[in-house]
Amino acid sequence: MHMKGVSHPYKDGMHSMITDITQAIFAALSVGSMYALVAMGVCLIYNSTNVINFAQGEFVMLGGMTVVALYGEMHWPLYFAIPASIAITVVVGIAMMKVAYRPGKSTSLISVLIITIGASLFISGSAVHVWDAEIHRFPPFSGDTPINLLDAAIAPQSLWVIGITTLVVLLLAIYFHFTIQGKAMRACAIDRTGASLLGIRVKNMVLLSFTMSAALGSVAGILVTPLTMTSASGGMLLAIKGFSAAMLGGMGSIVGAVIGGFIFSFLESFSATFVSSTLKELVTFIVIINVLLFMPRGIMGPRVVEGLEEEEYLME
Amino acid sequence: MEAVNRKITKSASTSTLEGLMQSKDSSVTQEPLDKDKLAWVLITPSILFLPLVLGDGYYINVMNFIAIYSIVALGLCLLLGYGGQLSISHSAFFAIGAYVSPIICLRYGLHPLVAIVLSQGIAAIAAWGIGAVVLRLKGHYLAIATLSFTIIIEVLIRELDWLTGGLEGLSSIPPISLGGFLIDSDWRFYFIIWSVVMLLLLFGLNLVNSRVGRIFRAIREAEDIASLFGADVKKYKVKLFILSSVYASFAGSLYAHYINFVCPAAGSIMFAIEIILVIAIGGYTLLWGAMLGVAFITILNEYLVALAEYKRTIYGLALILTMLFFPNGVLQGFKDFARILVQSLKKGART
Repeated sequence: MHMKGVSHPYKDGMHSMITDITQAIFAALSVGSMYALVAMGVCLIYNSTNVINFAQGEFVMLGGMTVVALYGEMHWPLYFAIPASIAITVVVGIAMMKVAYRPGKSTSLISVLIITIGASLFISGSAVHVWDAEIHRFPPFSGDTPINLLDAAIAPQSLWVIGITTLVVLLLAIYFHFTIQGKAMRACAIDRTGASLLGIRVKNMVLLSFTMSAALGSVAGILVTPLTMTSASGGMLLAIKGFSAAMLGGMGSIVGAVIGGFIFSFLESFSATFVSSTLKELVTFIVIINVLLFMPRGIMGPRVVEGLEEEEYLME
Repeated sequence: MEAVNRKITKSASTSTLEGLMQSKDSSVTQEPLDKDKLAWVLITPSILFLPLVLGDGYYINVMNFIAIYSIVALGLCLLLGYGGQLSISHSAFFAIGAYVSPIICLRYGLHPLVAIVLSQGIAAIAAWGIGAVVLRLKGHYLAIATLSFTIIIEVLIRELDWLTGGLEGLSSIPPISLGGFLIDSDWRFYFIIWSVVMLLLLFGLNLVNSRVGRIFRAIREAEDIASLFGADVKKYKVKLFILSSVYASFAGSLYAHYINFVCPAAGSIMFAIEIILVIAIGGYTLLWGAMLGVAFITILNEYLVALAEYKRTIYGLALILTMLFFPNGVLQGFKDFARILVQSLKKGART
């Protein structure tokens, strides 16, 4: 774009501005899709167990890495590698549930938090041994040739990411509002004791939430790995971004998680394009500290938030 | 406030919380205090005389690192074990101490001791600023807010390379000197650092058995009730956070002047998690346990070099297993087990 308009600096400036904005929007949409999927996974587990799963990012990493191994290296067909990858991640997710969620035993909040941190380290440490510590990617679903839109080069993979994420969100919305099982899960999220009194098997709902959460994570990993690459140790930071997004949206709200994910990705993408890449790293965490302090219920937060002194704060 | 506190404790019946808040003149809490003090009086000279018996050697270097990390662990133990606040920001404060002091030293040419004192002041102000706002949150929310702070500090250290040297870090940091006597060898540093550690441990032991320490424990058990008994919960939480963070930053400063070099790894999240692992092994409420935990992890790191590439996996597994089988810490678990054993033996003897 710099070669074309040498003689029209002003026009070229305008032009590259529009190009930059288009490119930033598409980058934000595809990264935001990933954040949204991770944040929804965090929400599902939080709703059913009140546990914040620090290992959520490892699901994303596992999803990406298994497809890298099966499709990229062992050359399995994609339609076979993807279900296999999701299945492997779900098995890990269920194993995590068996370890982290133990009703009846009095484990403190801090113990559970440390267990999920431990699980995150264990999974990523093991992944380094199964594969290696290098950065990997596999070829995009439909080639590398960029699509031109308003002079911006858009990777076709980002359209896949945005499309499939939209589909997943729609399916989840239908599931939670129109199926009996989805309604049971929502009931559990509101009041576990009440739900079990009505005959809902809370334990099954917890199992289901871990399964869905692992599947969402691996889908996110599979979708974005061709765009953003993956490595065995990249999970922790992603998990932190994911639950920051979930908190911005209001902990426990699925819609809020999606909104939070996109707000963060837009903030990051635009601060990287127009300010500096340092700010991109900082913006999420500066925003989340402020959200926790001044808007602890988030955008779509639940009526009752455990662990917050909000009433006291409002009284000051 | 103290008068109100006394009045309530006098009139009310005995409950655990009230026991925790009782003033020092009661004889209830005298016994464990004496045991810890006795251990301190016996162990301090033996540690300080250890090199005089064993001579110089590589183990002194390992012991020095154990001492430095012990200070961080003691700080976290006070905050997590006695105050019940899980903070994942100790590596950030360690890094603040490890960077600010050398920066003052190198840029303004001040004496290392002055720089260390000044950097503790800066760390305390930072902890006050962060603590005053972040400690409104509890549980998960507090953990994530402090974790965010750690990541912000980590990124700033990497990116502000005009100040921190970026990824290359800062080198040729001058060693500490006491009136012309340079503390520039492992051997010399050993006596200084272990005296400091034992003094900080003594301070911690005294603190947790004082009225303030009982207020901290009351806050851990139930904030609402603690404030009903007249404790200014917010003020005490912030005070404890500042104290705990300054422990970490003090360790950081000593670390920087000891190895004469700092790099961004000093403030990594991994380090913060390592310190939590140490506390999990040592037992949340055992200050001695925190130090034993540090010794265990440091020696493990030092002598199992062959397993270095399995470090993450082993740490992860260790955290999970510790929490599953010893939710109050390994040492506390053994202690409880021993107590149950003794009790059942006594019962058996009686019948």
